[in-house]
Amino acid sequence: MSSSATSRVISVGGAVLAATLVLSACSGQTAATQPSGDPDAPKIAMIYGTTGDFSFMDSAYKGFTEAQEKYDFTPLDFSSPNTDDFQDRIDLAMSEGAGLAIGIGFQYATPMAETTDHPDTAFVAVDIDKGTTIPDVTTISFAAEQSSYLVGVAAALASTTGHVGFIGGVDQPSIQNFFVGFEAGAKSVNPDIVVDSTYLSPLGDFTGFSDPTKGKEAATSMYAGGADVIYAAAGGSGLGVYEQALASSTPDAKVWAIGVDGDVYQQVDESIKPYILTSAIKNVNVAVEDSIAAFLDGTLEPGEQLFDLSNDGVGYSTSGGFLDEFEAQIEEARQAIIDGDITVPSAL
Amino acid sequence: MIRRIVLTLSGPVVSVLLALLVTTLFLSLSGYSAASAYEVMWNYGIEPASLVSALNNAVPLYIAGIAAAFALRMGLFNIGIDGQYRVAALAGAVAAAQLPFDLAVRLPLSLLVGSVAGALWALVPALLKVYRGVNEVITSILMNAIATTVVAILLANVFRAGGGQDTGTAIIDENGAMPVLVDLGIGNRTAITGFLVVAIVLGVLFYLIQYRTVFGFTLQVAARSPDAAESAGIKVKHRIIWAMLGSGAIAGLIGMPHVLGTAHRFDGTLPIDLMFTGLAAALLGRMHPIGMAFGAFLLAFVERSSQVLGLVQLPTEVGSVFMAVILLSSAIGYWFTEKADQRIALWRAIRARRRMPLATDGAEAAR
Repeated sequence: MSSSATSRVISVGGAVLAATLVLSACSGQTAATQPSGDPDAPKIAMIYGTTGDFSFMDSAYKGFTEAQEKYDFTPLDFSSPNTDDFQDRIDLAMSEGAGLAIGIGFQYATPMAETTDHPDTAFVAVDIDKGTTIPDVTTISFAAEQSSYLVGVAAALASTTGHVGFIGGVDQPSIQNFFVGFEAGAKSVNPDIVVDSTYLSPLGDFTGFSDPTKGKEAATSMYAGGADVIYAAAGGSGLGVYEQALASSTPDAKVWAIGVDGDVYQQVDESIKPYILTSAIKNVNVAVEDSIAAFLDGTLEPGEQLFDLSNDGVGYSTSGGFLDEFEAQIEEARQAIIDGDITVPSAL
Repeated sequence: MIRRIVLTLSGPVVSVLLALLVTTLFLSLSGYSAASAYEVMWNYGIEPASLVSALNNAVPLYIAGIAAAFALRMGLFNIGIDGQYRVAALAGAVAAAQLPFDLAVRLPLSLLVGSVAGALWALVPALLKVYRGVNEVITSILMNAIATTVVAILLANVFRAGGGQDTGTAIIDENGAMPVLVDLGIGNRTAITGFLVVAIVLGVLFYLIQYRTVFGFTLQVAARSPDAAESAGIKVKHRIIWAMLGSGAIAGLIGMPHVLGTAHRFDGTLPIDLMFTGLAAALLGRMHPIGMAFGAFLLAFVERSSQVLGLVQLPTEVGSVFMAVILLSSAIGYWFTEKADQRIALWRAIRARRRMPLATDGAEAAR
């Protein structure tokens, strides 16, 4: 009695299993264990989150892929959508024999500091707070407030209403830093300018970096409230802001959006491009590429590296040519920051 | 008996196979070879460090599963576990870092603080349901949103210890952290967390309370028919409150392995998907204390194994796809096996009836 029930269930399960096996056996490109190349080439691991944010991670990934074209090394590409396995991925890179492991994001500071024993693997941690030193780790920090200051200058110059806005992804110090710089830049041009600001999610809730709908809603009300330039420092949510710049513009009154981290003008749809005034650039790709080059040359040293305006680690984009008429003033501010005549405030 | 066991086991097996099927389809249609993906995942997954890591990561999933099951036995869907464990993790992290006691006192107290915080957070939906008849699903989802904001405000303005981008609470020293249960010493990082003991104790308590006490029985009765329970003298309102409180108290421990064992503080690295993955473990294990343990381990194993997919140029999201499909297929899988079971019973009944008239015909012919 029970045996036929058993066989029935087994046959159902068997059919599903068979289908799975057939499917997994049939075609599909066989994922090569590693792209072919010199087996003795050094292995370099990049450990990061997931791409597709139009900014930080995409930029890091770009640096990693471009380095693969220029230099001879075996790439180990470890991405993860999780927030709790940074240590696992560092261990994985070490056990796979990586000579260099590049961690993208400040979250790598603690696990890299705690992994004291890594004689065969050099560590680079990208986007760490200024002034952080971790023994045997190269930390790279970006002066995001400086690039934000320059786009603040651009925003104030382009604004006709004397009213600009800032949309941050998450209400945390690293993002507040963008706002502090932006506000200072805008006020340096027009001390009476109104600078709205909002954050898409509170501290500890990272959805604000990946929710274009929230970005769009925030931008809608900000444009409706009179702001005509909005700086979006919100990762993937920025896309909603850029789209809304198009939607909120009328033939009489054009509104602008300012992108962040990468050159957003190059990434968005054709229809949105005319509304991207500029982007505050954080050259994560340069940091990644430079670290790889330095490692291969044998010149990579532990310690802090600051990427700021003076070494083109941060900057602003001029794609689209919308800044042509303001170029002189922005460049003047840029030079003043490099020369130390202007000290940009920081939230960090 | 054998039939019962086979039926119980085939549910999860069919679920997992369905999940494999869909993941395979996803991979094949995207132009990848599923076979090589599974191979590299398996090889990495069965390394000692991976197995230990999967075991450690299964612990919070198992606790989340028990928390969900505790309320579900009473017919309540506590989707507020998410908020409950995040609030509790903050409370527990602060307690573990600040209490002026030795480990032997501080650790249990920190766990208690977490449990109480989780229970209090669950009390709000329970009271609203009992006294105002508001659906607990709605209120607990809202409580999750409130938890996000409350945690953010408390973290930013009260408990924050680090500077710069560092937004965590104070570091918990060895007088507050959960000690390692045993270090297997077979390679890098093969220490099993002491929370394994907590999970096992919770599993046993869950079994005893829900299956072996009058209280557990009255929960079941009240879940099946509140009116019948009421007329039998069971106070259904009290049962609702106790079930939610119990669920919340267990939920309060979900974040503790991370806070007291991994990060040694509350910060942005606390995983935010523990409730959903834990629910999948509970569904997969059919709310049974042993079944859920297997479910939790399987999911943790998949999560760990998928870390290595980057080595073969595959998207890490393959693991997430598998988990998402498990949630769906564990419902479908049970439906599937139950249907199959009913069909078998039907066939057998028909066959038995067909045989019977034949037998009588034979008897008549003989006469």
